[in-house]
Amino acid sequence: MNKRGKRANRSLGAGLWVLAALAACGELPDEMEIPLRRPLSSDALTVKADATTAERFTGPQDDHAGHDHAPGEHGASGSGDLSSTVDSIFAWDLPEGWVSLPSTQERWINLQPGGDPNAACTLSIMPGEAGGLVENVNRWRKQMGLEPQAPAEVALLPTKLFLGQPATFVDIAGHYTGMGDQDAPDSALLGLIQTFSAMNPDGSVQTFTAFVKFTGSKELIEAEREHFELFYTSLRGASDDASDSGQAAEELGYTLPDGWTDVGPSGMRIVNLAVGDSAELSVIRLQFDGGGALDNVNRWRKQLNLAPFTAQQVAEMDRVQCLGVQAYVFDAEGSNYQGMTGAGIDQARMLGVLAIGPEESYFIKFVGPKDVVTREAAAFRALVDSFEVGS
Amino acid sequence: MKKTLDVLSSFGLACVLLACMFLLTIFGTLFQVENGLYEAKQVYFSSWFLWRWGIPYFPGGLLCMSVLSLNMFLGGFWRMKITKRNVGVVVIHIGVAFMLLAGLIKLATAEEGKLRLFEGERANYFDSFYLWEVAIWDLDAVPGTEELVIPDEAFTDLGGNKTRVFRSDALPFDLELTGFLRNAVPLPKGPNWQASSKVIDGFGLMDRGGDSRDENYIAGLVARALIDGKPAEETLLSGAAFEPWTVHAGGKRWAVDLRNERYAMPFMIQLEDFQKEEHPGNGMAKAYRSWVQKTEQGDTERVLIQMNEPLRSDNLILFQSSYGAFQGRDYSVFSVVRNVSDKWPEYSLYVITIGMLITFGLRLWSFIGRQTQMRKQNA
Repeated sequence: MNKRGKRANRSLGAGLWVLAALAACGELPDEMEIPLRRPLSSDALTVKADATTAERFTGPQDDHAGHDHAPGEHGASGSGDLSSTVDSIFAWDLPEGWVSLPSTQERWINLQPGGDPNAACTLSIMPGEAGGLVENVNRWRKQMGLEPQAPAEVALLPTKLFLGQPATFVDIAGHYTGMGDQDAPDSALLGLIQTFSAMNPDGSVQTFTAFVKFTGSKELIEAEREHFELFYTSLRGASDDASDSGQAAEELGYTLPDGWTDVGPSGMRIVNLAVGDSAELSVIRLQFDGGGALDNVNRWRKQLNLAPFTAQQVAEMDRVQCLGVQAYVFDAEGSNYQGMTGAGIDQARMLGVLAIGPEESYFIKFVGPKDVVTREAAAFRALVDSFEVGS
Repeated sequence: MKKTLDVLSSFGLACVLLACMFLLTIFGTLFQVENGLYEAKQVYFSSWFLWRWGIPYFPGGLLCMSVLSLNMFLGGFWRMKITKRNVGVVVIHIGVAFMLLAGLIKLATAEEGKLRLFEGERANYFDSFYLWEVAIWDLDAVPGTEELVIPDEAFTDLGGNKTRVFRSDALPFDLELTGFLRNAVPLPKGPNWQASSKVIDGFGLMDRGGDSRDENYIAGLVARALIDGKPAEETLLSGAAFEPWTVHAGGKRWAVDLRNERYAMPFMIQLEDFQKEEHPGNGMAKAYRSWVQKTEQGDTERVLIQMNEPLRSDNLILFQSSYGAFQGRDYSVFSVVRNVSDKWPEYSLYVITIGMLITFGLRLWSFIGRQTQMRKQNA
């Protein structure tokens, strides 16, 4: 061992003996000398100085940065190559509070919603029709302890836009037995099943079936339903990102109101602002119509525990010019606005703007306690007026 | 005295101790399933006793193995009269006692951790699996200077509102730490969730639960820089942070970082190339290996580390343990152990082998002698 190493070990050893002696005497004091010194680590002078809090905690603005400092990586599983392959095929936005786990053979995308180890949101892709739609819907129903549905009933299930095409949407609850020894009462399952065709390098066309499956406790599923929708609507081909990179690099410009804090983009939120600790504004950009005005208005109303609007009521909503389109103006008050960990706001107010365009849509949502949002309403309108793409 | 030595060197005691170790192994393994390797080692195998309600109710692995070492030693040197016939058995006892001593030395002095390197990356340290530290260094320092380190045991008791101030003559500010969470992630704070920490710069820590130590846990806490005893800056520190916190004090920039406890290596390791062979068709790894450059005191050598072929140098052993890829770049993970008694079990096996050769050789010699005698008598 060289001299520096020996000196460092002596220093470390002495410091640890002092600590051990202190610990042996009872609790450590409220003030103490820093006990150890050692030579600088090899990476100490290559770090970024003066990094903002957002830069320190979200790092490079990667679409799904959870792959980097995800806890699972501490004991890397050796499946990183598969994750890398999936990264080269798909891109997606990691919802706030969700954790990205390494891919497996069955789970191309493997997410832990809300950081809950008992919940899972996965994307699986199988060749062909994988047994067919009816079989797969009933397989999920069986896992939930439900009776199978007839083909006619399955045909009536709702559809959601997924990867640019309609996908059958399954929304069920029951006693989840899942696979293996999983057994959880009061569970729920949200899922999408879509059969699609893709062209091989030799020009031949092959059929695949994609399954997006989100399982967890009923409570968690309800709290994370919005995030689930945002996840699957954000899923896209990685090549789309590459070809759109010039466009994606275009920032959304705006004037930050006085007293508001810019906490930086996170996950799928391209703008993330806060007013104190209690109210927040987020902007999400989605491809095409992002699910449309009716679904998104009613999603927000449901978060406020309000009855859904009809298409006619949505059509009659106020409009404002925003980001190049006549955007819908949302303003509602509700009770027990629930977040992803169940912590709610009793008297909440939500102001929103849905700028729905033919190629991409922006959803601007400002939510918090009624008094705070009311006080900041004028600032919100000024902020909305200031939004412009590419500045 | 003689009675005590009789008990300590008895076969009966050896049997009881082996039975206890058998039970410790079973229950320690079951405990590990729920509580992880570190806690299982601490509670069952590195302890003198197992405790419940403040009362020791069963001997721990350390006590069993220590007494067994004494039992072997006394059995071999005091109880058993050394004669020409049993000299081999004595040598075997010495070998086994030496092996147990190697385990004790490892328990008392070894450092274990991991080193993850991307291709082209290098490091002169490795990280603990479970322990954390807060490191402070001058961002404008020249290589070769020192960093200050607050070790795990000095701040991991600071849960809730408990605070502790750390100072050093080398620092123009004091550092106050509080609100330690063993397993928490930093997230932008919104109305959707309640932070388990103070919210600073729009971020809070979400506690993910867990009181034990687990290599998957990510620690977090609140840190304040105090200048002249008054709070000047504060932030959240997280083991998941991409960059350290920068404090401006005394005309300098200081980095403050919460990270897995680091252990210095006397040499630099640079990952040159990571190679993986897959089983055809299923993508599972058949073999993986790392070509590294080891630089020590200006001398660089190219070394291959692969399964069952670790790098051994300066009492450090680097095993190829895992691998992965991030954003198209391969990385290799090495398990690292610093253990002065690394080779002692191997030496003890040589001693035991010699003892067995002596024992069986003497028995064979005796048997051949008796057979020769019988043949002579029969003739």
